[in-house]
Formats: sequence, C-alpha cells, structure tokens
Amino acid sequence: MADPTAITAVLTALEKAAAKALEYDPGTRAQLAKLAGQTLLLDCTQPAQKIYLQFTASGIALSGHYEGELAATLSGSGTDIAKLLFADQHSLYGSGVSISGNAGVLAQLQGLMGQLDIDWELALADIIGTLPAHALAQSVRGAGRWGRERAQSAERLIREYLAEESGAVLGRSEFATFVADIDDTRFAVDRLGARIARLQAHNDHKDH
Amino acid sequence: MSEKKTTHFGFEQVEVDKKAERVADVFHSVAGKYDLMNDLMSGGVHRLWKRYTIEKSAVRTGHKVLDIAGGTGDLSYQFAQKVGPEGLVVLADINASMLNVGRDRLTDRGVAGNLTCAQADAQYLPFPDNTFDCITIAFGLRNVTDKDLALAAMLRVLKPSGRLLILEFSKPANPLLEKAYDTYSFSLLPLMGKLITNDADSYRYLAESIRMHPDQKTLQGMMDNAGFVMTEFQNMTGGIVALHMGVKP
Repeated sequence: MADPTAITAVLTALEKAAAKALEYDPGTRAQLAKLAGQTLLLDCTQPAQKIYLQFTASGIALSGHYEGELAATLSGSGTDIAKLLFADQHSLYGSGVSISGNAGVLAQLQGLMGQLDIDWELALADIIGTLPAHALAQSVRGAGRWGRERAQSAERLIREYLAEESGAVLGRSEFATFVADIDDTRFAVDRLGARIARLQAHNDHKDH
Repeated sequence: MSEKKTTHFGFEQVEVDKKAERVADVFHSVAGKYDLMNDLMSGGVHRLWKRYTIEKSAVRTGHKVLDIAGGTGDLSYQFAQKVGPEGLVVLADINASMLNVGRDRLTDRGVAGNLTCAQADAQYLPFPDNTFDCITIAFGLRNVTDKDLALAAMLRVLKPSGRLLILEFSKPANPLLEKAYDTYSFSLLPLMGKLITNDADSYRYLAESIRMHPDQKTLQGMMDNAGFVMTEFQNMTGGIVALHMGVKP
C-alpha cells in the first residue's frame, strides 16, 4: 500500500482548490449543496487509488478512506474518469468507465461541471485589489479577443491560400459548381436512359 | 533498603513516579508555541498525518470520541464537526497548560455544546466502562509512564467494537532515512527549539523520547496483549510516523 502521506497531501490540495473555485462561483456552490450528504467513490484502476467525494452543504470533501454508505461508484482509469467528469464525454458508452449505484448523482455532477463559471476577476481582486484586478482582467480579455480574431483570420487566409493560390484543394464555389455539374449529368443520364427504354418498348410493340 | 523502580525520560533513567512530573515540565514549557513548533519541525506534514487519522477513525454523527493527549485541540476540532450536535468529543490531556491552550482555541473557533475538556491521566481514565465509540491518542503515548496500563484503561472505556487509533512517531523503514532523521532530530530540532521557544532541552527530550518509544511491531504486540483485536499499523512518511489501529472485542 502506498504511503498515505502523499495521497493525503494531494487530496488536501485538490479539496482546497475546489473550495477556492466554488468560493468564486456561488451558482455552482448552491447547486452542489443539493447533493449534500451523498458520497461518490472514484475507483481508479490506473493509478490504483480510491477517492471518495463527499458532498456537504458547504462544498466537497475528498478522502482516501470512507466507511459510510455510497451513492455511486465510478470505476475506470484516472484519465477516463477525469474525461467523463470534466471534458465533453457525456455518455458512459465507450468512455471506459463503469458505474454502479445511483447514476443520477453522476448526471447532476456532470451538469454542474459543465456550468462551472468561476469569477476570476473577483478571485484576483481578493489578492491584488479591485482596480488592478479589473485592469488586468481587461488586458487578459483584450488579449483573448485579439487571439481569437487572429486565429479566425489565420484560418481564413490558409483556406484562401490552399484554394486560390496553391490550387491544392478546391474552393467552396468551384466545389459547388462541380457538384451542380455532376447533378446535371446524372439527370441527363437518367433522362437518356428513360428515352432508350421508351424507344425499346416502342420497337418491341411494332415487332408484334 | 529497597531499590526504587526506574523508567526512561528520553535517554535518561528517572524514578517511575518522577517521569510524569518531568514530562509535565516539558509541556508546560512548550504549550504556548506547540503548534507553531509542530508546523516548523514537520514542515506542516503533521496536519496530513492527523487528517489521515481522522479519515481512518470513521467517526460519524452521534459518536462519542475521546481525544487523549489532545493538547491544542486540532483533532478535537475536526471530530466536533463530524459528530454533530448529537455526538460528544472529550478533549483530555494530563497537562493543564496544553489543555488551556486547546480549550481557548476551540472556544475561539466556536466549538460548543458537543465538546468537553478533562484533565486526565491516560493510565487512569476517569470515565465509565464502555463509553466511547472511538479513542485517539496522537503523539502522546510515548510520554505515558506505563503504556500497558494506559492501553488497558483505553480498552475499558471503549464500547465493544469501538476503535482505538494511536498516532505516534515510530521507526523509519529505510536505514538511510533513519540516518537523515537522526541527524535532523538531534542537531536541528534542539536548535529550532532554542531559537523559537528558547528551550533546547525540551525539544531534545522530544527527540530522545521518540527513539525510546516501541517500534511498530512491538506496539502492535502491546495492543494485542492489552486485549485489542484486528490490530494493524500503517506507516506514514517512510515510517517516521505510524498509525496503529485496534478494535475492542
């Protein structure tokens, strides 16, 4: 068995981080209180470690040992469980994670994780003061906006280069014309086939 | 003329009836800065050891818990949250100075209603038989003069199926770690004690008393002899500390 000091240290740090995050997201904290009294076991197979999430009225307590009743148990590798809880994986199908117990608790938790909206500006204001925090947050937001615009512009330029300059791929309008031509040809072939069939039927009738 | 029985006080041999007095002097001296020193000496790791002890206690709402040698009350505070208003936590310590610090601190933190304090000797616990669901003694057993007597007293006041948890310094499993730990304990620890509490001797005693404390297997055997069942221990931080657990049949 691994030395409990290390895992206790990790769980303590995670618990404190979660408490800090919830402090700046009162909406999620209020929703989380609805799960109070329930305990979810994350039974990680890789690395082999059991983590108990105990929901309380004020947040989440994490522990490596618990002897009470469990609402649900999630079993799988650490990465798969994390993907299921924090990323876009919404279904257990193909997730590599199995669940036993009340699946509703997992659904509620996933919903809350998706809605997590931490007020970073407020968190920053508690450390460096309101005005500097606002100025810094504005700069970060500005930088984020600039970054998004540059990314969109780069995507457009690459698309134009590939389609117009290098000719490596078809442009959108050329592709549309090409598809329309194929459609016209298909209709013409269909019509021709129908005429041949009609002529053949006409000749057969005359022979008799 | 009859020869007086002696016991160890750190590396020193003292008369049995003098040990409690000498230990009391140490803790009277360090009480005011006990938690600060613990944080400095262990780099804050003592909080992780105690947190793990609380997890393993499996204490829940309505339980009665006895925190022996509870000192400054950090375990009692957590237990008071866990047992809720229907439960009870008894913070016990033989040393009045330590108990005063603990009681004041818990009052300041708003703990009331489900907590009482008792100045009590672990060898002669002043509680009826079968009273507690859980007993903890964290970093206290090594200072008790007669550990077998104390274990018997704990067994008596525990309820059947009640749980005893002993958190105590122990013997590092790795010889290299043991060597480094020895150097730290006998050189750095008294120096820190001198700088912070102006009391190198008390911290030298703490280091010596750790070396004189029974190792993991010996303590487990003592718990078995006292009548505990399902005894086990868990090394922490390479065996510098061990958590022993036993159940009253």
